[in-house]
Amino acid sequence: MQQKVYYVTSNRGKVREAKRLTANEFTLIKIIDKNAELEEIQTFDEKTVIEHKAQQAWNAVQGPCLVDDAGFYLKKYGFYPGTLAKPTAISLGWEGIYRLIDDDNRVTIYCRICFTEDGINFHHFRADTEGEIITPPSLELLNSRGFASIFKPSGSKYTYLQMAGKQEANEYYHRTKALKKFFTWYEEQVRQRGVTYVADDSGSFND
Amino acid sequence: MATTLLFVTEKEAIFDQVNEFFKKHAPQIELVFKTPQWHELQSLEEERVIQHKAMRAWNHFKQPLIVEDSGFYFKRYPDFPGTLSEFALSGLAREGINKLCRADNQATAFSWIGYIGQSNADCYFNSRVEGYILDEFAPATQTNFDMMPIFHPEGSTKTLQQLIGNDRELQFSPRLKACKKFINWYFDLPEDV
Repeated sequence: MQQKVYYVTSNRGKVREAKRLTANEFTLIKIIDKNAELEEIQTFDEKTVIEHKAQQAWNAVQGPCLVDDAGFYLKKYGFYPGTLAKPTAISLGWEGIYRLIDDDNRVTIYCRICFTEDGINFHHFRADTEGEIITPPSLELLNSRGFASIFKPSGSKYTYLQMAGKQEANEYYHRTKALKKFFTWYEEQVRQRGVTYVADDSGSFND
Repeated sequence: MATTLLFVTEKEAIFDQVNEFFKKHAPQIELVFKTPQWHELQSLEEERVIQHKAMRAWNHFKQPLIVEDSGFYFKRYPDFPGTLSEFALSGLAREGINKLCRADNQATAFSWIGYIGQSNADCYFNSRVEGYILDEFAPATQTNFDMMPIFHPEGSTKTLQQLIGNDRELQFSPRLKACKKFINWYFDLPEDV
């Protein structure tokens, strides 16, 4: 029997990644895909942002659920843009980003996972990867593949995009690392107390 | 008898500026300062942000109120920082803003005033002012680190900060222009009054 957990996100690729991980390494956990757009609030505080998302996720599914939030920090500017990385990159554009990092291209990319079973207690799992933003191989690639095509983790000779599908990705991908932290912790919880939530085929929960 | 309106804003300096303006242009309205205990919506759409602010404040206070939102856009980066202005200024600080200014320091400042009245009906008023960001602006204090000291309206010899209390403030301040639109609407005055 498996412990069922909703992954509440509008990104199907993230769910596929989580399902791949649980199928291969964390077999006590079964990920259930819950497609939802979650409202985000405007603050630099990672925990506040993701707990707001987790609360909405729990309200939607009323059961064990996880959400994620990712961003990056430009080393030169300390805690910027962090939680606001996505709207900043969209609104400023790559030309602006490159202007900001013209003398220091170091960057830390992070992923935070937040899990709750009751909508009251929130558990956090965070992983980050340090690296640099490199000159784009081509503008076309940058426009089509975005950040993955220009982020090269420290210690690797590949960009995120180049290591896709390779073993090396497990070592560097921030989301993979954060998900593994969560799954490791949650499997241990399940081992200790047994499976508490079993889903029927429709995905609804029965205690 | 004066009508009471809550003004829900995080910054006392903004309340003071708007309150002084209302005392002069709408003495029939008494503004009461309230600070929100919540975060604003993350969105690049100005309308969504101001509407969310107004509705969130209404749901909390259940009284007639106004909220405001202000920011600016670089001409070279027409979508940035906009609704993220406060965060861009504090996150990028002087050095980052100056890097972006070096390419082109022309900018547009904007302000919104959102109102929700007794009947829960909402109305929104905005204004935009062209100008530029000072290339080498002086570091602002922590409590006053916004666009006011660095935005220089076109045609003015002063920054928005320096214009506070000035006779020509209404001519250049997008916040006061939006307030004036609201007052004109509230008292059913013609647009150009």
